[in-house]
Amino acid sequence: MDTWGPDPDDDASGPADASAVRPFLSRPSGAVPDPGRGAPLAPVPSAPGARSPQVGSGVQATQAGSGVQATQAGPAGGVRPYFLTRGRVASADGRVRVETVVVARRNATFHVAGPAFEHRRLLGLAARPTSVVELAVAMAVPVGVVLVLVGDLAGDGLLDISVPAVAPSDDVDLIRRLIDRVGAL
Amino acid sequence: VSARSETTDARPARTAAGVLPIPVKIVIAGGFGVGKTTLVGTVSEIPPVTTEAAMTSVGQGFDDPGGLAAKATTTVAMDFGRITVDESLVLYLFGTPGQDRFGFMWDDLALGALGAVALVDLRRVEDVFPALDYFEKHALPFVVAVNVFDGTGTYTADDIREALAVDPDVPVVLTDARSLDAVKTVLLALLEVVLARATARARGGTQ
Repeated sequence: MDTWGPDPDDDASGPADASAVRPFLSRPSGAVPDPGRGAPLAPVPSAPGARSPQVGSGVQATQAGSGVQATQAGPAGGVRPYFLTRGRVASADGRVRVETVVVARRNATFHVAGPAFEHRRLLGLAARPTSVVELAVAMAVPVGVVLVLVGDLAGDGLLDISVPAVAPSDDVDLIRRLIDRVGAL
Repeated sequence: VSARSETTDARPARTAAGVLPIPVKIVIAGGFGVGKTTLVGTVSEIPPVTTEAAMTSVGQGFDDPGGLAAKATTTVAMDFGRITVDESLVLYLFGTPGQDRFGFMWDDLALGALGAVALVDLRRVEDVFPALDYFEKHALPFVVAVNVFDGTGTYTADDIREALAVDPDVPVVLTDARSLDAVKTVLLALLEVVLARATARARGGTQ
């Protein structure tokens, strides 16, 4: 049923391979599979009976969207990939989400200014309609990087994005089609 | 299948509602090792792909007071699967960790989601509490799916509902993440909730 989009395995090299290709990118080793059943990584701090957020875990995360990078990302890195986005953490196009399907316009790669290797690569991968998350896998970069790049390229008129006219959660016919499809699995 | 791909390649890309499929998504949340990846893989037409979550979860950095770095980098991974409905509609499933400190990552995933599945391991029910809080706070339709491991089959759905303190109208489904039929039941229970809400809104809008 893989009728569109790149095969996720096509170019989804692991972190080690990626660093070999682009050693200037210090990538977090995030591409680790879920450990699966029965393999908890560590005990989780719990507050029995109190479904309280902000359970103290000793790990602090700054507010999302603050745009302030940590001064030290630790050995896992995680900052330098955003060189590709010139430090931006939000897409220029607020409609772009992780599942958004994009497609490059014809000959779009010829119109990219400068040595924007990742932009060209993205456009090449998006020659067929492909989702943001699948582009991220194919490019071996965090999804957030693709969100920003796609926003830029859409703004430059080099690719199109799929924006439903009606919110899917309000589209009764769409939901019925999903029910029929899942029921037929 | 290949014919369709060729058609896609040959035609000019353009902005038109008919060209690009509409993507919709369902979020699968739960603690470590609860079976999210297994569940996604059971119904996905592609093997579950693990990738890194949105930039906000990676670029903010984490302090590392007690050797937690490895855990943190593992945790920002998410995985996804895909179910193609037809050439105009594609359903994505996103599995995401349920720990509270990664709540900001959910905003990227949950925005625009049709709904969510809170996957529970009864040996560690507290792992799913942050997810339940998040879904309730954001009025995201959700179902509770209990991944039944050995020794947890003696509880009823009502017992579990009470233990989790979820509303009576939230479906609680006993499932097995490895079973296609069982996972289908979970997704259909969620989609029925989504449909009921959409139908109610449509009625409200026409009055």
